[in-house]
Amino acid sequence: MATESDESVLGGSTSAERRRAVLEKLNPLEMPIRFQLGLLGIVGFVLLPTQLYPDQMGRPTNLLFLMMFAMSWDVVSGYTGQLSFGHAFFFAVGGYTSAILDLQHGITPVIGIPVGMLLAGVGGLLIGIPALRLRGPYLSLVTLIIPIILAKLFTLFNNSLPVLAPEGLGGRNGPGLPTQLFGIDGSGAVLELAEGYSGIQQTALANYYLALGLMLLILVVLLAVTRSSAGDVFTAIREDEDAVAAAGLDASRFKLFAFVLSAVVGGLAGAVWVHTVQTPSPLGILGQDDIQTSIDVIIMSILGGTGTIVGPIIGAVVFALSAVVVGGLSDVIIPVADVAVADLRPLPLLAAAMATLVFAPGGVLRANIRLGRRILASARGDEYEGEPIGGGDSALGQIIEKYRAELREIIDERR
Amino acid sequence: MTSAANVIVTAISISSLYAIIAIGFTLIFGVGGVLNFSHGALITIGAEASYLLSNPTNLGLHPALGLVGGMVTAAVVGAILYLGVVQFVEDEPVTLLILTFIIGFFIQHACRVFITGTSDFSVDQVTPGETTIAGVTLFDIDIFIFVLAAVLIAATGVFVSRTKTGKAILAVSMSEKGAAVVGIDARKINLITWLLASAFAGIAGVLLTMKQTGAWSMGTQPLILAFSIVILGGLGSIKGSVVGAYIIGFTETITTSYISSSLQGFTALVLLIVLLLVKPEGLFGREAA
Repeated sequence: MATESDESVLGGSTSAERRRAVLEKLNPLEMPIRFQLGLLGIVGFVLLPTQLYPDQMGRPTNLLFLMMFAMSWDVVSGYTGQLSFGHAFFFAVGGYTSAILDLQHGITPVIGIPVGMLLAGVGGLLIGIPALRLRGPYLSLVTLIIPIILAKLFTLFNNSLPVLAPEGLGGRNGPGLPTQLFGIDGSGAVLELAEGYSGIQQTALANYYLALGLMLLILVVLLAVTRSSAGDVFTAIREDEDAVAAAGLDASRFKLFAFVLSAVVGGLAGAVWVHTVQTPSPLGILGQDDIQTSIDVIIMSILGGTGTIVGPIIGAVVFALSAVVVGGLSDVIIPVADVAVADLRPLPLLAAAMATLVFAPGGVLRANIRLGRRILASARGDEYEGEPIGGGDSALGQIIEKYRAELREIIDERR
Repeated sequence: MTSAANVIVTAISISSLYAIIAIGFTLIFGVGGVLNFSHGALITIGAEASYLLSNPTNLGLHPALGLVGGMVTAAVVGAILYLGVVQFVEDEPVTLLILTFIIGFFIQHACRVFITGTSDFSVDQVTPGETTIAGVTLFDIDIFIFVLAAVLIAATGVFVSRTKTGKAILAVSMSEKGAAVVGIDARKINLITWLLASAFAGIAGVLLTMKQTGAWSMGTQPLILAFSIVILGGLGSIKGSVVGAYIIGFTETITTSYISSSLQGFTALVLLIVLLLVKPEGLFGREAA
């Protein structure tokens, strides 16, 4: 690959050389095209609010949170291959903790959010430890039902949960609207902004840029972790756990680390979510049937490409754009069924996810990088040989391999 | 006030429904190694088809025809799923897992968009009315469900252990290569299994609607319970599924009737997690199907 050779420049001999190499690497003009496009995307997100009215800001802000959730899924499921079907559990733990602390204990979100994040991390430990013992389908089941159990707990402790939540968890409606981080003057928010319309404007902007900042922070942290040697171990676990053990590394410790990291990230995003643009309730956080959000996160990651961290961001954009595009077609009626295209949601998106799974298991990101390389190569007049196409080499392909081996073990055991 | 006898009858009829759902799920897993997460959607399909056929506001046919129609529709959709999608990605379990999940959502949302919307719907019972046996009043529909499920379970047992096709199903689930060596067409066996499992899911969907009400997302809860039951009983074991179904069905009914109705769908899942941590291979994990 052409990009690979650029990266070895980092190891200069003197510190001056090294610094120059780093600076060169950070120079946008010298970057590979895919990084330039990424930077352009970030610039686009920074400039986006200039094109929208305050009341249109909700969706893009929500989108940023979806990105964080999808990234947090990717770091554990995309990298280590431990498929989680109930990641919204962590978002809910973060969100509910912070909301309840605020509403029923009078603790400001500024403290509540870090506490929610920590508690989600504890949740990650609690699920991560048994996850080390459970294989493929069993882990999927456990992660699938944990958010459902959580939602039942919300209903069970509807009116009161001694000490922790004296006024209860609020059942299906949620515990109520917690203090917002930003609001107009006199709204009681943590940070009160201007009055009237300009206050509404500022609130929308503040929420958006906070989410954007948080998303970029999470992106940088997760990229740093997954591109470090720990990330290599994650990938190695996905590829061949025995090999990791044979190299003298404790695979379970890394898996646990991935789980907790993912949970902390998800908890943080979930906690900030309920203090900005989302109401804490089972439907709001966990989604339809208490599993929709978890599945949406998986769909986004698959659309963009699992095991990349950047892929889920792109997947989330595709996810949100498709909702906007399809939702905009309210005047287009499908002839025979007499249903407006807009009412079809989420069918087109689900169909797109199915098609991605079958035809481009590496995700949209990888497919486009490959396409881009081919175009560049043909522009140079070379023939692009490319990487082998097909499941085997992509992250999803490796997760599949791992899963298959575990299924085989389970089936063999029965005989 | 619910008497103990009534609780037991409800538990039996619900468990019987769970059992036929779980048998289908476990058969598909045993034969093709596929965890079919669209199984819940097939329950919805059965229910929606019977609604279209036998609800008075639609065709208004006899409920029995709705039952048959629900079964056939679900079986056809199941066969389409296998022939159109599953057989092409059969050896990629994760793709398949997520794919069947998404297909399940797709089908359920399609039912919502095109057929019933978000409101609940009902279907007339095949056997309306009540019967009093030894001083206990029972709904006829509960008796019907129990008898039908028992017949179906027994028939499945006989089919799998006595008939040639059934034995072939067992053979494929034990070793696909071995089955191929003796000339069994695994693809055909897979198709038969999908037909059978989907038909069962369809029947369960219709009966669930008759007993309670139907809704576009009605398949999700039974799907999760079926998955739990199958894991509880040991993946791929028919006997395990039946036993697991009764354990889960009874736990659920007894806790919801005697402790609190808000416990619905809770105790069974907690029980399952505990069991998974203690005995991950399931109750009948080491047995052949």
